[in-house]
Amino acid sequence: MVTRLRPASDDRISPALLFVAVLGLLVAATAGMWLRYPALGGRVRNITRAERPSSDHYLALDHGGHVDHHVLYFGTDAEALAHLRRADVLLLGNSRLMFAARPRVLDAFFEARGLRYYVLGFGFREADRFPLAIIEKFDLRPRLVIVNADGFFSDSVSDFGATVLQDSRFGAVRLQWEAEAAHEARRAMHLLVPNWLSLFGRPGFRSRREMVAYRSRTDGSWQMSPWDPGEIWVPYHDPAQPPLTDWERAAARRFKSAMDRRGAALVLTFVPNPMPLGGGPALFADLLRVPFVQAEPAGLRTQDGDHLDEASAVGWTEAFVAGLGRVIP
Amino acid sequence: MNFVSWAFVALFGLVLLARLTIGRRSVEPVFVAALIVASVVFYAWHIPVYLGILWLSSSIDYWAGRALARLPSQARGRRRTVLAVSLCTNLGLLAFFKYAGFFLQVGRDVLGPAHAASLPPELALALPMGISFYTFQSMSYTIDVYRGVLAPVRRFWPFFLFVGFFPQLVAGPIVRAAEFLPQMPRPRRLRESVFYEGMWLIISGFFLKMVCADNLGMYVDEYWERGTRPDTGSGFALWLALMFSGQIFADFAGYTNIARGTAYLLGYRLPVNFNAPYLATSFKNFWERWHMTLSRWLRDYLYISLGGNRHGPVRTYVNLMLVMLLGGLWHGAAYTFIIWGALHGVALAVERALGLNRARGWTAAWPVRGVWFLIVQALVLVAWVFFRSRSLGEALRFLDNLVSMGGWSLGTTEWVGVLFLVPIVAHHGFVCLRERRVVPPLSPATRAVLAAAMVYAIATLYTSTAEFIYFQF
Repeated sequence: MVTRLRPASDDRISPALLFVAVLGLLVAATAGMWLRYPALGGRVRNITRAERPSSDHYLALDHGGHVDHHVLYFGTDAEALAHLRRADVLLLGNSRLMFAARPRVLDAFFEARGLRYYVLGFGFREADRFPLAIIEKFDLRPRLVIVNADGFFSDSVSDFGATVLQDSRFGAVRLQWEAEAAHEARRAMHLLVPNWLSLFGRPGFRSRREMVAYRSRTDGSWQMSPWDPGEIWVPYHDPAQPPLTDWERAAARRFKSAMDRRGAALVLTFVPNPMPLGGGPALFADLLRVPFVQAEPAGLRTQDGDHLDEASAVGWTEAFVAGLGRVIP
Repeated sequence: MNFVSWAFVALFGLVLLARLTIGRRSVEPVFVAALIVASVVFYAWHIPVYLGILWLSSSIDYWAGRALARLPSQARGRRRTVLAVSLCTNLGLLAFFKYAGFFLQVGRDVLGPAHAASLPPELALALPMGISFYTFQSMSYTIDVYRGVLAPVRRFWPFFLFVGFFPQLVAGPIVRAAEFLPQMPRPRRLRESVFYEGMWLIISGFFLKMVCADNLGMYVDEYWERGTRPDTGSGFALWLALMFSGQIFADFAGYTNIARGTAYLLGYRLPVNFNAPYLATSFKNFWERWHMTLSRWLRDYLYISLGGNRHGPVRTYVNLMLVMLLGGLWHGAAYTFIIWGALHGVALAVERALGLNRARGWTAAWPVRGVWFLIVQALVLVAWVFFRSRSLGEALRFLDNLVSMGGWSLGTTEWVGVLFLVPIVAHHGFVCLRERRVVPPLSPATRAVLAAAMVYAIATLYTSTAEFIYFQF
């Protein structure tokens, strides 16, 4: 009985050779399938196409690591921090703002008014507490703060943001190094084989495409690479809906007080998307008695049901600055 | 440092190089020094200043061991004092970092809002990585020396390596000095079979973590809150609970495999920590298969110290309950972990009272064993709901949905998620057949094929990686 249960005698085959052969076969089969069915019905390995727009940009967001919060909270990038400190205008909000705010439009608008701006938004549905922590930590004194009110006023921090607040400068530098290394490794590896989950998405999850974002040191804006045209239309959203909760009212007032103490004027806006968060942005503006810039041009589309595609983002930013021009002539 | 990082790959590459050079030439002190440097870098990668805590814990226990060796066995009082210093230091560190915030919260809950202001403000301390593991490991050394079952170590640095050996530093297995220290002064030749065994463990560990645990975790994190909503059906809640039970197994067993594999390649054998726990036919058997080194620690240093089963059945049940409650609290400072421990404690006591912990008499009948197996697995699953939930209320709402016996249909999302459970089920199935000697062990060739498939899966199915769940403990 015991003899029968011994592993089959396969001493003649070197396990190392067998390992290499099987792995090689799987990789070759993948490559063959790719050649036979080009790009598997239009799907592309985004990571292999990702390109840093310029040396002015650092890696902000990738499968291999999310370093954006750390870099700005711990000021590990001296140049980015210097630009942040000099900014007259801060744009705050979640990842929807980071996709929407396009520098080529914002540059022209703010330069014409002699203002320097910095887009200080974050992913992970970050709300008010995290950017406020940065403003207070570096004692930023902007003249104007523009907020994408989409779920912003909640006196909260994301789970990820909370871990960042507990981390250290050493942790931030370490994470940045690890993320850059992982990013380069992924770019090389996926030239050979794709990540099937990034390629086809995962049923039941909204964000089906992998995202690689680089952040400008000069103005804080994100550049997605690649950034494909969107397919999902954004419906009209009534900015006076839904009603505010007591909690949101209190959070908004607290944030306004913090900005008042710093001598910063507040302007609210809203980046349209199919699933807005929190109370109606126009209601927040009424509550705080600050201007609300509504920018909702027709034909906006998202690339993933959440974030605008590039053409829509440019359209939104143009509409936004047109509205902002009426507030700060 | 996280195993799933390029920093670890670089560090391990350097240490392996040391193993293949100085580690093979019988220059043990130099190789030990290289391992200590690697362990220090590994630990400091988290929060460098916390190295001081690791050093303090090791120093106290090294000193305690030396002091106990010098004291004659008749000097009971002084020996007890030395032991008390060691235990108080280790448990004090653990209590401060892990439980101070929790007890402040309990104090606030008890005092109510009117008097809560009199308590110190909320503590926002990051938990030193692996503190629960290395303090237990360090304490076990002192207790063994105190009991006279272990001779104290002569030099500090080998002892420091025992406490801080990087593969098992942050999440075990909890190794005993008697297992680890004798492995130091010996020639290390990296034989082919050792290389293959180590690589098999490492690859299977990364596969369990990066393909199974991280992907299962995506579903659990995304949908757990939905599992607590009143409109959620039983099928969805059961699916989520199963996904989490798969995630926590793959996460922890994956970590252990990587730890054991890296240690093996460096010339050290670490004990087995998991053996297909969801095959357990009794609660006792579950703890013989799940986190085995913690179960062993709790049995030898807590359960037996409390009197074990030597003082009658009632005292035995109380001891079991106490041990599991403390085991729950060891995992984390939260009511949910206490309930998790209490559930296991009550279950162990009831099982013992019914005689189901041993297959004798009426309890040996297969229908009884079969029913009890189902009860064991169901209660383990219920206990995981408490383990995963952020609050008692959340856990109870989740369980309410689970037992509502309505809405059993599952959609595409759920069935795709189940695919990541398949390797875990296959592993358990294989272990089940192996234990019954129905199938032979995996041959080197089969392992090579499976390892290649797992590497391919790691490269093509990984998702955003999260830290190992047990890093937070």
